[in-house]
Amino acid sequence: MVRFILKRLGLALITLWLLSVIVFLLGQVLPADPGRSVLGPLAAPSAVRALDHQLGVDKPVLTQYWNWISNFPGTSYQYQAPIGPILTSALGRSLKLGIFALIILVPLGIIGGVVSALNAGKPIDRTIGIIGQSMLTVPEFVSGIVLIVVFAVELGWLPVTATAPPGSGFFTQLKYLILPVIPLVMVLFGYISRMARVGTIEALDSDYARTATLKGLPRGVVVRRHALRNSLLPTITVIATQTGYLIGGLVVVEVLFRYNGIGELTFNASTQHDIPMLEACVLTIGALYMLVTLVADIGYSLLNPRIRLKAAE
Amino acid sequence: MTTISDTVRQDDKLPQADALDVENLEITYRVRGRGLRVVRDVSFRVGRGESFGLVGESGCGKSTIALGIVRYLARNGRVTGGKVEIDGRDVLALNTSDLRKLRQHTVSMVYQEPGRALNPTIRVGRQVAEVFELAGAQKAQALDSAQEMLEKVRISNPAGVMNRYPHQLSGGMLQRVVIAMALASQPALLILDEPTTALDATVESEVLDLISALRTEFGTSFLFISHNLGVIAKMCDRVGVLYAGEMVEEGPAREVFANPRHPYTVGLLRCIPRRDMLKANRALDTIPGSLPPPGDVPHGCIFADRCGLVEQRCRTEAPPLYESGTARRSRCHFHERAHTLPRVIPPEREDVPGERADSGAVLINAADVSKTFHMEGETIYGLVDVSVELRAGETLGLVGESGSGKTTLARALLGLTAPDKGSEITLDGEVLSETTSGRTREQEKALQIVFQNPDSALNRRHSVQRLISRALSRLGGYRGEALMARLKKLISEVRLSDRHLSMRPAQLSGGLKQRVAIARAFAGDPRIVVCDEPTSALDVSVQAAILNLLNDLQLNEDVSYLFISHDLGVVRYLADRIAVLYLGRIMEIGPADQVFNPPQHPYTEALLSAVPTLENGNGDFERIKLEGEIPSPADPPTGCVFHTRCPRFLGDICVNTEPPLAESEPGHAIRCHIPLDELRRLQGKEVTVAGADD
Amino acid sequence: MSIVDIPIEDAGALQAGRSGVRREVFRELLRSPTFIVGAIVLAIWIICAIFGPVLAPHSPYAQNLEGINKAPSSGHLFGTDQLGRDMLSRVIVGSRDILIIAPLATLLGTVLGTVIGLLMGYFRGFVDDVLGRFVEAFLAIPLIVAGMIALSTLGRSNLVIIIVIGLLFTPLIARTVRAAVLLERELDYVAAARLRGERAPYIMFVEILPNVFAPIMVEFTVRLAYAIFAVLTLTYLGLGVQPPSPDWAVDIQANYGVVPAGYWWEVLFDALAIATLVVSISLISDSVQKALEG
Repeated sequence: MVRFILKRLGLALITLWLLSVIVFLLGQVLPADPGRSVLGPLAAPSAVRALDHQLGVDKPVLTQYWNWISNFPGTSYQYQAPIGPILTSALGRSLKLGIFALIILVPLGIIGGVVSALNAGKPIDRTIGIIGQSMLTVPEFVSGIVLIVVFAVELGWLPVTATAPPGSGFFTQLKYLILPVIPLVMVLFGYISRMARVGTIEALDSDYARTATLKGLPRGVVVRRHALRNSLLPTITVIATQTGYLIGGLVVVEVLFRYNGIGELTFNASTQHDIPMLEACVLTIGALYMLVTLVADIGYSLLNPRIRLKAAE
Repeated sequence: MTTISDTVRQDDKLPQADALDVENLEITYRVRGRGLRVVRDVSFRVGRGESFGLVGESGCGKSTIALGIVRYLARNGRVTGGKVEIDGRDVLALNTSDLRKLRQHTVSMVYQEPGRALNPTIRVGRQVAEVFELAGAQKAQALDSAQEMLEKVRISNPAGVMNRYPHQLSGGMLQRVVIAMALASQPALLILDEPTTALDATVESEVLDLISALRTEFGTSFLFISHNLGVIAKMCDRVGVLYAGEMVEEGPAREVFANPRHPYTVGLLRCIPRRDMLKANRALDTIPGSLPPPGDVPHGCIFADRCGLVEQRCRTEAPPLYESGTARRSRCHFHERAHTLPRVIPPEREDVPGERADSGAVLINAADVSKTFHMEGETIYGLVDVSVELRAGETLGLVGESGSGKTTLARALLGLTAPDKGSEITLDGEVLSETTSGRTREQEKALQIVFQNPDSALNRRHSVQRLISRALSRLGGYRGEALMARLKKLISEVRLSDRHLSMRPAQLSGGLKQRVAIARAFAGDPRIVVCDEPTSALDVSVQAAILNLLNDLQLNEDVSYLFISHDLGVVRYLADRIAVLYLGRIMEIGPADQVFNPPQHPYTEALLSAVPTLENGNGDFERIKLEGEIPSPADPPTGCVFHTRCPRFLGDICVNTEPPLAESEPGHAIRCHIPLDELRRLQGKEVTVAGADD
Repeated sequence: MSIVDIPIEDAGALQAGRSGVRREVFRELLRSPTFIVGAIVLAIWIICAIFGPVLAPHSPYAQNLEGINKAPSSGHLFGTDQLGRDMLSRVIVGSRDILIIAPLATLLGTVLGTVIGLLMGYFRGFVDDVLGRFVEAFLAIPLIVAGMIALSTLGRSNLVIIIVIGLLFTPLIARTVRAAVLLERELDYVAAARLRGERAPYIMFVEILPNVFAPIMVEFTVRLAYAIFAVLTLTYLGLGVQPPSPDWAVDIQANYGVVPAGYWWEVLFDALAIATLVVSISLISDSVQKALEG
C-alpha cells in the first residue's frame, strides 16, 4: 500500500518538475526581451540592459533556471518585496473562497445528478439537465456582473466586493463571499450533476442492481447500498479534475469582486509584467491542482476494493 | 437454518398451485416510437417440483419472458397481454409492495454472468446475508445462515469465501454464490437464465449437478433457459421451443428431442453435430433464410419463410397450438409429418479425403513454445514447452478450458504475441519471426485467422468491399480488374451476393459478418487458417452453415486449419487431429478418433464426460466428476499440473514430477504417469449410447 | 463435390443504404428541439458576424460626444455608451471576432489533440508515458491562468490567442482521444490489420481514426463552447482584443465601472449576447452528443 502511494507521489513530483520547466520557459525564455517587457516600450535602452543583466538574461538558460528554482519564490518587481508572504496570505484567502464554493457545489451537484437519475426521462430530469447545461457555459464574469447589478446595485442586499473589512467576524466574511461563490458554483454544477447522473444510471441499470431488486430489497436500499456506492466512486475523480476549472474561475471572480486572492495576484502580475510573481503564482496554482488530483486518486484507490486489495498484496 | 418461507409466506392459495402458470403472454417493446411485439401468445406451466426448459436461438424472446415474469423489463418494455401466476398469485396485478414480497419469498433468479450479478464493492458474505436480514434475522445470525448456504452449494472453505470480494473469485465459485443467494429464501420457483453458458465445461457440469441436487433437496421448481439443447435435455423434464417470440413446440424434453413435431425443431436438431458424424461422411444441415426482424409479425405462420414443408395455407392461416401427442403441442399445420422435412444440404459428401491427414507435408512446426506474461507483479504461465505440428490439408483441433493457453498458442503462431526465448516456430522449415513486423509477405499470406467475434473483427466503418479488397491488394497483390474478378469469386464462394458489397458490418447479421471475415481470411490464398472459436458467438443454425462453409473451403482451397473451440461436439466433427491443453501444457495429442476413445488422458476423459449432449442427456453412463476449480495460470500446481483435480491421482509421483509427453501409439501422445495398459483397463471400453439421429 | 448453391436471403439485414447511419443521425438532430433552438440562435449570430457592417444601423465606431450614456430609445435600441457610440451596432459587429477566433482555436486543438491522442493510445509504452507526463503537466495549469501568462508575455494579437488556446486545448482533447483509442486497439480488426502487415500510420489513421470520430465530434463542440468562454474571459481581463474593438467582452470591461451609476444597458446587452451565443453552442453540442450515442 505504501509503495503504491509512494509511486503516485513520485510520478506527481516528476510532473511538477516538468511544470516548473514549462512555466519558466514561458516567463523567461520566450519573450525576446524580458527586460523590455517589464519596463515597457518607453524605457531607455540602458535601463533595459541593466535590468536584463540583473535578471540574468545574458547567462546560460540552465543557470537562469537554476537561479530561479533555488531562489524560489523570489522577489516581486511591483512590490519590491519577497513573494513568499504575499503569496501565502493570498493563497489563504483564495482557499477560503474555493472551499466555500466546493461545500455548496459538491452536495448540490451530486444531489442534482442522483435526483435526475432516479427520475430519468421525467420533467424534473430534463429541467435539471437544461439548467445545468445552460449555466455551464456562461462565463463567470457575465453571471457575476448580472448578479452584482441585480443584487448589489439595484437591490442592495449584498455587498459589491468580496473583501470584508479587516477584523470582521466569520459570518460577516461569509456574507461578503456569497455573491462571488455563485458564479463559481453555477459554472461547475452542470458538469458534476451530469457525471453523477450518468454514473447513477449506469449503476441502476447494472446486473448487480438487478440482483438486488430481484432479491426483494426495497428500492431505497437498492439505491443507497448498491447503486450509489458504485456510482459515487468515480464522481470523486470527476470533482478533483473540476477543481482546475474552479481555480480558473477564481481568477475572474477575484478580479471582478476585488478580492485579494491568488487569482487577483496572478492577474495583476500579468498586467504589470511582474514575471517572478507571475511564475511563482502559476507554479503554486499548478502544484495545488496536482495535489488535489493526487489526493482524489489515492482516495479512489482506497475506496475501490479491486485496487486496494491489489495494492496491498 | 430458519426456513423463512414457512413462517412468512402468505397462504392464501392452495399449496398445490403450480409454481408458474403463464397464459397467452405478450410483451411489447417501444423502439423509436413503434411498438414491437417481441413475445406473442406464449403459454406454459411449471408444476410443483418440475423443471421446465425454454430453448431457442437469439431473438426468440426467452430472456425477455424470464424478465417479464418477474416484471423487470427494460424501461421501454411492457407486458401487454396475458396472465402470469407464480404460486397461484397474479403477478401482473400486484402492487409495488406485494411484488417486492413476491420477489423476496417466492421467486428467485440466477443469471448468465455471475461476476456482474454481484456488487463489486460489498463482500460476498454480506450479500448473501442480505437475504436473511431482509427476512428479519439479526446481522450475526444472518451471516451464519449465509455461511451455511455456502456449504450447501459445495463451496469448500465457506468462511474464507464469505470475506472475499466478487473479483477475487472464479466464475464457477461466483455462480455457486448466486445460486446460494437465490435458494436462501426457499422460493417456489427458480428461474435460471443461461446459468452455465459463461463457464468452462468441467465447471459447468459441476454446477449443473449441483443445481440438480439442490432441486431435489429444496423441492423448488425450475424454469431453465438456454440455447444449448444438450443442457436442457439433461436438466429439464419438459421443454418449450421458442422461435421469434412464439412457442412452436412443447412437450417432455426427451420426446421432443427424440421425435420433434415442428419443422423448426427438426431443422435445429439436424444442425448439431452428433457423435458419429464426421465432416468426412456427413454434412450438417442448415435452416435456410434468417430470423425475421423483431416484432415483425406476418399473417400466417411465423416460420413459413424458412420452412421446407410450407404450403399456401401456412401463409394465410396462423397455426394454433395443436395437440400432437400426450402432453405435447406443436404450432404447425403439418405437425404429424414434421419429421419429413426435406434436408437443405444433402447429407452425403462426394469426396472421400482418405488418409490425407497423415500423408501431408509438415507445414508448421512449433517447438518448445513458451509464453510467460508479467502483469502487475504476477507471473502468468500462459504456455509451457508446447511442441506441435500442423500438416498440409489437415484440421488440428485445439481444445481446452480457461487458462489452457490455446488462444495464446494461436497468437504466438500468428506473430500477434511474441513467445519467450527458446521457442521456435517454423513454416516450411523457415523460422518465423516472433512478431508480424519481422515476417515476409509470403509468410503473412500463408497464415491467416478467423476470429470469434465478427463485430470486433471487422472494422465497422469500412464497407464489405473495402474490407475484402484491402486484404486482396495487400496480401494477394491483386490490382484493378484482377482484383474485382477475384473479389466476385470470393464473395460467391462464401455465399454472399453483390449487394452486400456496399454494406457496412452493422447492417449484416452475425452469420453474414462471419462470412465476410472468412472471405477476408481467404483473400490472400492462405495455406493455414487459424479458426479461433469461429462459431461460438453464432446461433446453432447459423453455426452449421459456417462449419459447412469452412469444410468446403478446406477441400477446394487446400488449407490446413488450426481449429480452436471449447465445443467438443464441433471439434469432434471437424478435426483430424486433436491437442488437449491444460494450464499451458499439452496433455494429449493425436488423431481425433484415438483421442476421443480410451486409453486417454484422465483430463480428456473427464472433459468428454462433462459435456452434456443430446445423446448422454439421459445420464446413462457414469460421469467423471472433477473436484475443485481450475487453478490459476499464475499459480500452477507442482508436478503434473492436473494432479489437484485428477480422479485417477496416483500419489506422490504426481505431486512431485511432471510426466513427459509420451507416445502411446504412433502419432498419439499422453502426458500421464499411469502406464498405458493400466489406463486402458481403468477406462474400459468405449461407451456407446443409442444416439438420436434423423 | 459441388458446392450446393443456396441463396442466402438476409431478411435480417437492415434497410438502410450506404450512408444510412449518417442520415439517421441528421434526422434525429432535426427532430430535437434543443438542436433547432441552438442552431437558430447560432445562425443569427453567424449572420451578424458576416454581414455585421451592413446590418448595423450606425457605425460601431462613430462617436457622438453629445449623445453619451443615453438609455435605449427608438433611435438607439440598445442605448449609447460613454463615447456616444450606438450599442446595438457594437453588439452586432462584436460577434465577428469571437466567431472567428474560437472555432479556429478549437480546430487547431482538435487536430493536434487527435494526433497526439492517437500516438499515445496506439503505441502506449514509452511514448505514452513520456507524452503523458507532458499532457498532465499542461493540464495542471487552469486554462485561464495559462492563457494569462502566455498572453501577457507573448503579446495580444488574435493569432497569438488562437495558437495559445489551440495549444492549451490539445492535452484535453488528446486525453479523450487516447481513451477511445485504447479501447479500439483491443478489437480484433486491429489485429487483423497487423496480420496483413499494415504499418502503424495506416492502422492509426485509416483503421482506428474513423471509429473514434464520434467522441472527437463531441469533444469539438464541447470545446468550442469553452473556447468562446475562455476567449471572452481573457478579453475581459484585458488580455485579448483591445478597444476600440466592439468585442463584447471589451465593452463589458470598459463600461463595467459606470454600472453603479445606473447605465445598465452598457453592459447588459453584451452580457446577454454572450449568454445566448454560448448557450446555443452548448445546446447544439448536447443534442449532437445525444444523437451520436442514441
